[in-house]
Amino acid sequence: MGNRLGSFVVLFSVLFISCNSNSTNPASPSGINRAELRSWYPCVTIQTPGGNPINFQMEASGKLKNAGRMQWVRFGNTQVNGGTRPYHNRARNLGLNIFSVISLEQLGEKNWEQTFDRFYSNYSTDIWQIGNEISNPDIHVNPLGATTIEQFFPKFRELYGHVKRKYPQAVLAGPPTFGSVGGPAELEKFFQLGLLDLDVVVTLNLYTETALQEYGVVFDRYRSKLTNKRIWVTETGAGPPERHIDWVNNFYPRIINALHPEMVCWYVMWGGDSTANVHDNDSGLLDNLERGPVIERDLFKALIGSK
Amino acid sequence: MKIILLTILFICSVAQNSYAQFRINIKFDASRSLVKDASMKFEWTAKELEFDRKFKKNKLFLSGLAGGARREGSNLAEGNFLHIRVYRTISVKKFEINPSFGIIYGHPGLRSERTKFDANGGYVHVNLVRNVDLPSYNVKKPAVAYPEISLSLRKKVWRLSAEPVVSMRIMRYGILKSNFGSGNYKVVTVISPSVGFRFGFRF
Repeated sequence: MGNRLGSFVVLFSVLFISCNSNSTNPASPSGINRAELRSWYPCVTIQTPGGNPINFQMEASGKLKNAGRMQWVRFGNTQVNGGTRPYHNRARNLGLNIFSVISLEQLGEKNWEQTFDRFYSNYSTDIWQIGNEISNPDIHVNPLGATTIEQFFPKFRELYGHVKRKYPQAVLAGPPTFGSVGGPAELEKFFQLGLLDLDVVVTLNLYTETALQEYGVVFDRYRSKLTNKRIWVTETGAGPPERHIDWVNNFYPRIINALHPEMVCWYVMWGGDSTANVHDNDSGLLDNLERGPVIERDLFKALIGSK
Repeated sequence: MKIILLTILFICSVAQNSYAQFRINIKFDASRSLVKDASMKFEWTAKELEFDRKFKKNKLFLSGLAGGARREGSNLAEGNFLHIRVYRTISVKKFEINPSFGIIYGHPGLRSERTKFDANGGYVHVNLVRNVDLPSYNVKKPAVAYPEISLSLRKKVWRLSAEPVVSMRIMRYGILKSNFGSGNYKVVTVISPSVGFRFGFRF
């Protein structure tokens, strides 16, 4: 009995060690040239505060555009009264396509159609995103409170009908779902309620490996209905800044292989100046826009070819 | 996890029968799927840990039952499988020939997902079709279950055994061709060959 037990322990140890050693995975995306950031998609999200940041952010956009690394700008906040028009005008002057976000707060409780009419009359935008992470309880995302997919979708469908009747050329995008826990299940709920029956851009945010795995599963179940859909990853990115290049070289290819997006937008050009306690700008391509001097982070330098 | 534990417990319990032969195996293999309709090829390596109970006498033409865990690729979040198989042993001189039939079940992850874009902005996407649920997973049907038939040639020395194994798996792949405005999707069945080597230790 002792001999049997001993031989079992020895054999199990050998198996455990061998089974936990790393091996290569030939099926994973290969051939990525790290220096060239080949998997980068030409889209960056820009938040739109006033003051100096507008100049720095649009100059940076120009550099990215000239380097062939930016075709789309996704404006994180668009003011209904036209207050963010300078950003839009400068983006147009650079030759960029514009993706605008209308938040749940701006849509309000009623008259989504009227609100959209005001936005449409004030801005020239290529794609209109309606809502963003609508179930997110964070007051910075949804200051008036979150909502559920079931409450949101009927209103969205009504707005869709209004826009298609009144502005046939306008392109709508659904609200991106969470980039982490719960996002894929929410997207599936949208699909079940009929989002794929509408002619809208399918959007999602994506920040974690687990979310990517789960989005892949949801997409697999609905592939036959995704044949004519534009798919956008509206936000992805990682902090701290030392991880940026690795994220583009290693996570972007996984996104592409699993979700075949038309566009992937990096979040964010600048998310506020970093301080010892504030890390909202961990994924920012730039830092220190308010305090100065401006810091161009490594990914930005690599994209414009200065690194 | 519950299924893994239950499977191991089940196999360990039947192995208590002193009239049966109980063996623990490890296997290393290399597999390939060629999805001709999309001109895409998937290749991967795997390692397996398996508990193997050989019956004292053949039962229903079967000589034994084996099952265990299988690991494909190196990403911890994906490529984790369970498998179970039944086999028949045919003795030929100093060797044993073991044809077997089994089922592989688990979470493939994104290793079998691939997208190729073309110059016109269209793309072809291939995915392994998921067809079964996984307990405690946040979304439905993330896992696959597919059959495998295999043939091995076993040579035993003392308590040890070694056997080359060839197998075929019947896998289903989805092919999506689209230009974001229109496209089509179809599912094809692919026979995926695999070659490997299994080492065993008899208790």
